[in-house]
Amino acid sequence: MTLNFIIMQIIGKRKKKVIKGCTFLLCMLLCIMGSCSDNKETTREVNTDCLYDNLAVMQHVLDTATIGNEDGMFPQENADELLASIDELKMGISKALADMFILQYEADNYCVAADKALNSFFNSQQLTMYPGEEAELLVYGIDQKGYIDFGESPLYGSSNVFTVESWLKYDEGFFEYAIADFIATFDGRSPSEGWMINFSGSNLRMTLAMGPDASNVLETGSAYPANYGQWMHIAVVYNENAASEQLKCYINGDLFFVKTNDVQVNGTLQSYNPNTRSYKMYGFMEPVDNSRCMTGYMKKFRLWHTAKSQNEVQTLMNTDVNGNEAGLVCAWDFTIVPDDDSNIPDKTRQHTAKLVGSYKWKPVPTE
Amino acid sequence: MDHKITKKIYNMLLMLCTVFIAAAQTNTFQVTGVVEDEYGDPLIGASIIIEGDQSGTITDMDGRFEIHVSGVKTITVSYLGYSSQQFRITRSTVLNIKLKEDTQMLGDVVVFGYGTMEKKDLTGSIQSIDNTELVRSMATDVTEALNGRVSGVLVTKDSNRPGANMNIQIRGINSFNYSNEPLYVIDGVPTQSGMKHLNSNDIESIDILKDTSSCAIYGSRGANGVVIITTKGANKKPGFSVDYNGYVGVKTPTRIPDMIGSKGNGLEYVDYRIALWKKKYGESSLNRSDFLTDDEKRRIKYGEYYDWLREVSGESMVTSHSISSSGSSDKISYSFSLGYLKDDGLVGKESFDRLTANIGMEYRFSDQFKMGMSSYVSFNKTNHGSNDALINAYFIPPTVSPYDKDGSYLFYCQPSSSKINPFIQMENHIRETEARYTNFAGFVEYLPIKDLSIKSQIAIQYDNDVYGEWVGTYTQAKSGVNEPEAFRKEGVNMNYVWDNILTYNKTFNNIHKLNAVGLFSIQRDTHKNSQMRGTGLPYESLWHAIQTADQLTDVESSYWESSMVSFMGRINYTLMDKYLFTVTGRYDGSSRLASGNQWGFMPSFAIGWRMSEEGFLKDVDWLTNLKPRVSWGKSGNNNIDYDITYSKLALNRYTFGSSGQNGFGLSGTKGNSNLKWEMTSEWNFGLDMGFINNRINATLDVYSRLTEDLIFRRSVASINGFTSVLENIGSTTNKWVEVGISTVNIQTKNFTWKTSGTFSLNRNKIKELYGNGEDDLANRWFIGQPINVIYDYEHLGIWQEEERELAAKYGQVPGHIKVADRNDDDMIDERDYTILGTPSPDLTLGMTNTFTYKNWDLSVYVYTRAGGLYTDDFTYIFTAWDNEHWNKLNVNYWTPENRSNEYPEVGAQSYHTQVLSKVSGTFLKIQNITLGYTLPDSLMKKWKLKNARVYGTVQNPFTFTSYKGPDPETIGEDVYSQLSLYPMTFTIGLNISF
Repeated sequence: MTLNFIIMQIIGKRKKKVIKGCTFLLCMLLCIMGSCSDNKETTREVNTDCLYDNLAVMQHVLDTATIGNEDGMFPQENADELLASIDELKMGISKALADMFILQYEADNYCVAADKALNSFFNSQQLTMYPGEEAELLVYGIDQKGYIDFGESPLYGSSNVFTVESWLKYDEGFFEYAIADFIATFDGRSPSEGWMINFSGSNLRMTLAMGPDASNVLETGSAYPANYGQWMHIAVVYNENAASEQLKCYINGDLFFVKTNDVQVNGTLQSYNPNTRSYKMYGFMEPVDNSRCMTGYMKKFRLWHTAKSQNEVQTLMNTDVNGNEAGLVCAWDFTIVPDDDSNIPDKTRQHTAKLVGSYKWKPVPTE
Repeated sequence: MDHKITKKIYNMLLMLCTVFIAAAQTNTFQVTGVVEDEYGDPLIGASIIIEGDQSGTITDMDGRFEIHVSGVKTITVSYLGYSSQQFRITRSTVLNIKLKEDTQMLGDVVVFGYGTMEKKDLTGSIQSIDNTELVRSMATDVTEALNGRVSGVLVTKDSNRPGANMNIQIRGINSFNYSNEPLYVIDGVPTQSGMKHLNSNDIESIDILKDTSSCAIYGSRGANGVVIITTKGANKKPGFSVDYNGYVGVKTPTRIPDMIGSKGNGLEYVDYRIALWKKKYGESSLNRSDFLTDDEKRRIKYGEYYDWLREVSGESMVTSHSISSSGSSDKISYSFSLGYLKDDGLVGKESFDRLTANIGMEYRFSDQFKMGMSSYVSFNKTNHGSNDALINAYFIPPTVSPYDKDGSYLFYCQPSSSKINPFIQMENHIRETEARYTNFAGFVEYLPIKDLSIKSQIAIQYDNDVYGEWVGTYTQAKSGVNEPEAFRKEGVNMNYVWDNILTYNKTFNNIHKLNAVGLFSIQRDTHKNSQMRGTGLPYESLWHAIQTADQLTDVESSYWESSMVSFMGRINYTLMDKYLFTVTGRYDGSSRLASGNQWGFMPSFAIGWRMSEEGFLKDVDWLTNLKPRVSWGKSGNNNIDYDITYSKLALNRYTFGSSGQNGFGLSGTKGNSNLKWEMTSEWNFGLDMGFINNRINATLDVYSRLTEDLIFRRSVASINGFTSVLENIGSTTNKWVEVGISTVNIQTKNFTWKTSGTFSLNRNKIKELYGNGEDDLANRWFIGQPINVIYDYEHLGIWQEEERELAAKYGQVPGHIKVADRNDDDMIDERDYTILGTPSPDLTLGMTNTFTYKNWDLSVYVYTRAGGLYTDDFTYIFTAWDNEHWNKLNVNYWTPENRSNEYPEVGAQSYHTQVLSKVSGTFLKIQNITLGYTLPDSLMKKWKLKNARVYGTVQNPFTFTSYKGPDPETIGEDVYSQLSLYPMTFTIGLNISF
């Protein structure tokens, strides 16, 4: 306005029409450039049906379940857990009635928790498995409930040439965190050390701590097979002596991914940082960062200080070991219920594993 | 007796005086008149010079003048842009003079190093840009004004922060390891300091020497082109005038990137976050307390969202004021100017302040002897702004508030995102540079005979900059917990140049025009640098009390110098005003190379043919000018390290218990005393054309440049302690075409429409690397390809649901990034990399349209770049990263329902995300629209003004690009130190001359 006024004083009133026109055009231009108002969505309807549905189901399950310590029954403590979950769900319904939910996810959270509580309760149905019986081992790693502790040994994470091979089975929703470790010696404290076979997003990955710089990792992967409920053989081979393609992964004997070590700024290849602080190795959980956990079945697990070829991997997945093989560091077969779940010797007789927290020996399903 | 003699002498003197006075009175003629243009409009400030005694006057507001001429003499009436006229004065008279506009004269004089030349006589590829165009570009750093206005020149900027650095490439890049910046020559002083410290109002003209033939006169420093800046201080105009040019503008951020949930659409962000967490961590992760805090939920409930980019940015001011005066009399010419510019940034404390002063003086003792001086002084201060404040504003989601209910900052470090509050970051991270630039040049010139000039000039350039940085505890770098840190760095550069120039200018028999120049030059430059860093400072002392720190690190100081001795000769010969020949030779000796290779000879030649002056074309009315020209030249690249030929010891610090000990060992690189300059030779074929009385002017240049003996750092087996050695190996080429065109589309008494434009197309290639025909995969150098290439996976799109089986073969799932398996081995690995493009535009185009109607003028400047593929960290970070607490760009992400083929599914953790960082550099900008109004003559006469113009300008009003960031010209900017928003500036200004 001031500018308009000044200009008009200078050039005289006869130009007013021109100036007004220009000003109008300029304003229009600015309006267009400044973009216009948006229709913003500020509130949403929250559907709470699933809360009531789940409550009905949970109540029914609890009412009809047989509580006791015999096979086919559900332990009292698990019934108590389910009851607590029902109370929690009722709290959710109260919040819904009090119009405290702003977004759908808040209601959904209660329903998801109810589903988990139901699954947990169903999993608690008792079935006695006796030492020596053929069985499958299910470890409930989600929420850090259970894991396999393979003990401590400098051998687990020390070598820059090794092969990890194991049979794994999982169901949908087998992890709930950004990174979920299957087998790991990894220590993420700076400088990171060790290795981990892990899942992240849609991917099955291998991660190795690399040096000499503190925070480097060699990490690659591929989308994990969605073969839920099916056993698969995973073999990861790392060979720092190779000129290239130091890291390879095989699924059921087929090459799954391959990676050459990254190059440092000075042009040389990075090298593996072995474990020097923590010598632990866990299954279904990371030894140092316990939040990286998952739920799944493990059948056989072997660690070698040799780099197996693809042919050797294909042979190994169909054969057993006796513990005396050259380069074998440790080997467990979780195919038979052990005498003592907290003291499971490996085949080399050098190490022992223990099952910690929530896990279950289950009968081998018939084909 | 004595008294009588004295009386006689006195009487004789009195008689003589009387005679002289009478004679003088008899031969003094009064000449009055008026000078007008073809349309009868008076020309204000036209000069009327009396030939022989160099005195004169200028016309007043009505174009009138009055002058007294002693005896019979010739007066010359001239006005810039018009053909001069001469009149023989034999008596008192009244002249009504009409000057004709001469489009051929406009911009006719070109500065081409150690002299000037009429454009019609040029044989090389040289382009000029004058003060008017520079000032109208409104560029804080005049370097930017060259973009699109000079063909073959590509200016890239680090950032849109005020005071950010600019880089120039002229006809592409030649060197792998050393600077590709051109040589700047400011009022005869060669420098590498760039033009940031110069005020565009002080610049008379910038002349860009592009072809190697033209650059060869600068010998070993001309390989990357030469930018010659002539300040007003170095030119002297007749009469006296005072000019003021000032403007005030408001900057506002434009093209603010669309982050998810911006502009108050917070639920959009919440949806994204839910999708991300569900995909990344599973549905139950939404139960985690850090998914959304209670405060965030409360804000969502009440629709309280924060658009962080708009919170941390805002309007800012830019203002510039320049005043200059110049005058001239018989004996002395002088000029003086002062300028001040303040350019505030859009974010935090970013700013650039510059104070400039320019003085020039020339005293003519006689027609044969004169001396003069010029000096330019510039002080500038750049507040670079905080490192991470802006990127943190990008990261922090709209559900987080910067303030609490009292208006105080709500958080220092946001707990879930781990990001420091940008406002706190701005206060605690301070980076400033104070720079001073001074040059001084003094000369004496003697003409022992009419056509021969001997000139000796001594020039000194001093520049100094102090960089200081304060990193407080509450900064991203210190994570809100570590001790503060301060850093100070200083550099002092001195440059002495002594030029001795012999110039012979003679026309023989009206057909042989000869201009010969000889030069002997000595140059020495010294460089001092020091720096120190202190960690753990006890109080907020910026970088002014580093000695109080707990620990001192990075303590360094250095000194180096280099010198050069040069002999240069150049002959320009014109035969019959048609046939043009130029031969140049320069012999440089440099201290940067070892004995035996210190001296190098750089010759060039050029020929031109003004065909339009030939008889067989004289009758072709529509053809005004036609001049084909050919040139070849050779010049070097002296932008190499001063110590490149030496093997050096490297300092290592060893720790023994609690103490340290310095030790020296061999550095990694072995020097090479056999190194030579990187040498560039170039053929240039040009064609200058003018049509329809020069209503259409065009210049076409086709060139082929070869740079050989490139200095490479070749890796060697570490046997003698060295890991690499420097060698002259490898060669590169730059080829293609430049076009410049200017037209007068419509010209009537009241209305004119003019267009000028440039077009550039350059292709850079590696011709040879190590002499064995092999590529260098580690450095991504490939023979036959440009020096800089993007070598990576080819992005095909996103895996779709119907491709699930095929995707699984590559370890992918629908929603993941799909890249090409180029070798069809069913694996995606480095062997599938391919050359995707080069981070350089395929072509650039600039065009200015100027319309004038009576006293109004309107100009529109359009600049475009097409092609070029760039790696952009900004796009990568904000489309590929899936951090659960950070925000990202609102682009077309794949979902099962939205089958996007551009961006992967949120939270899918796809591999090969680096392909998302590859962005096209194509854009079109309407960069400047200026509307001006020149006051009518009647008002100017009333107010005794020579000129007065008010104008309004909008800069960057429209940008068309697919780039997701703010400004496609800053693609690839360092996101952690230079990230910037894109300003649109509204300016009003005033030019006034008294």
